[in-house]
Amino acid sequence: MTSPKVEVAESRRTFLKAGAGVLSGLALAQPSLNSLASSVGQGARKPNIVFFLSEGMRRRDELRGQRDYSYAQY
Amino acid sequence: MSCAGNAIIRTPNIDRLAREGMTFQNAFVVNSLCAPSRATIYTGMYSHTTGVLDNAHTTGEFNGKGQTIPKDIPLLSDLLRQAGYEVAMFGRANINVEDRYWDYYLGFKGWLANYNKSVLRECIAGQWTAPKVYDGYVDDLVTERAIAWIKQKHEKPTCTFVWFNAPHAPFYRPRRLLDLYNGVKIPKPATFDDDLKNPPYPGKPSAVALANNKIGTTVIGGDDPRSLEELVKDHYAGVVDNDDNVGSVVKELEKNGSLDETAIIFSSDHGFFLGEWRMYDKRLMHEPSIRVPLIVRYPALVKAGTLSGSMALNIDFVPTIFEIAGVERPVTLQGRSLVPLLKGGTPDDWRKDWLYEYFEFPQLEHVRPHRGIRTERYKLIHYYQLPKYPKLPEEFELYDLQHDPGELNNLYGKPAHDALVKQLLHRIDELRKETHDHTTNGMT
Repeated sequence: MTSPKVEVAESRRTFLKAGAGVLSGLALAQPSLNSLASSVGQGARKPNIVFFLSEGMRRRDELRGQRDYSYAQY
Repeated sequence: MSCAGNAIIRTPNIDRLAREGMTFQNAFVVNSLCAPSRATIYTGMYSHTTGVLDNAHTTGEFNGKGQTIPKDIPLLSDLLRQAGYEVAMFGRANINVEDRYWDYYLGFKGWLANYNKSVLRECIAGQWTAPKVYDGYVDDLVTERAIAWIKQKHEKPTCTFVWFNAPHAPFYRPRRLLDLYNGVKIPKPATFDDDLKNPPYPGKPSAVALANNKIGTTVIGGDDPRSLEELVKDHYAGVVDNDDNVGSVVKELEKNGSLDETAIIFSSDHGFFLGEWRMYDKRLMHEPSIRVPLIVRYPALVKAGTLSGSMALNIDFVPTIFEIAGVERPVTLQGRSLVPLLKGGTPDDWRKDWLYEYFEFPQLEHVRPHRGIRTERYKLIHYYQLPKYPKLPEEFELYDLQHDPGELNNLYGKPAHDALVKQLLHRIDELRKETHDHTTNGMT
């Protein structure tokens, strides 16, 4: 069994501060944020992104065709 | 979704995304509750890291302030802005994200009791206005505004969140769908009448039997379905409305020539019980609750009509979007980018198991806090003891999903599986350590 390796920290706050280069002092509400933008993706037009999120839609196929899962009818 | 094999519902627009993109057949959420799951989707972190453990404080019913992600945790939108994107939110923000910068926002915290007179707040380039009442079915309304946003000329790349309120309780339909499914027979899940058996709910622990989310008998005010037929048809109508709105946005992207340059992601904040063990709602770790649709359409990266069977999680959404957008990945993210899977491969070290957690209790639904592990084959659910409720017993469920995908046969307590239980419990501890889970059974 494997999973992504992450470093161990003593607390949630410590863990978050482990990413201090990205996180600490981040002026989240300020409109002029360019530090990361300058380090990645220079030159290429970044794709637009549309992210749809349903509220409680499930998959229906997870059990389809599997034995032990039958539907009784009215 | 009809593309996922549902014989009743028709979702041609979501089906199109699947036909032209990649469908993840094994996508899950790590906490099947609205606010915690959405906090995870905003941040790429587990609930025990965001601190958004439950839905409490998200609605006016509680205190109207809205659950808030600590400010030292950047949201997906924050870091996309930092990387040069314009970001816009339409619809059910759920979490209070009104303390963050949005180029445009028209949405609401918590959930809506009234789909047709929604109270929404607007933000234009960081300037917020007072909440206003809007007439019209809320998801249709915010989708129209999202299309207007997409039509605008943008100097920068854009990330547009279109987050629906449907099909959440109280399950109101848009006017045009009131007659949908009249006369249609709704199949009854094989376990719907398990409460009538002797003993009731065979094999299930009291944590399932006593959960207060049962069709026809639960009365918690406003969102309790009276019958399976009512619930399923109203829920499906909400899904159809989702599909219509997806189609409207895709049509606009096609019209303005940007469809193939746009990465489109479609998913859900959690699954839903539709009558299994007579339950509705979500929360519990059974498959109907934790499984979500996940489709990505982006022809520059994804071959049309492809499938991935690898286990994808909602903690993966942020790293995936960051990689697609060329944004540097913070070390604090707890998921993995799905891009290698989108490209058609599966890394050798892709996850073989993952940790589930649920904390909200007692609330109205009385679903006991639990943790669990899901591997490709097995699932172990641990309802741990709570110091505040010493009379509630520690309980477990163990399923072999390969032979029992319907989770009908609880193997916990059978000697042949003792070693497996021990191994899975040990792995839960490891996963908790790896994800810096310092919650106690007192929950915080």
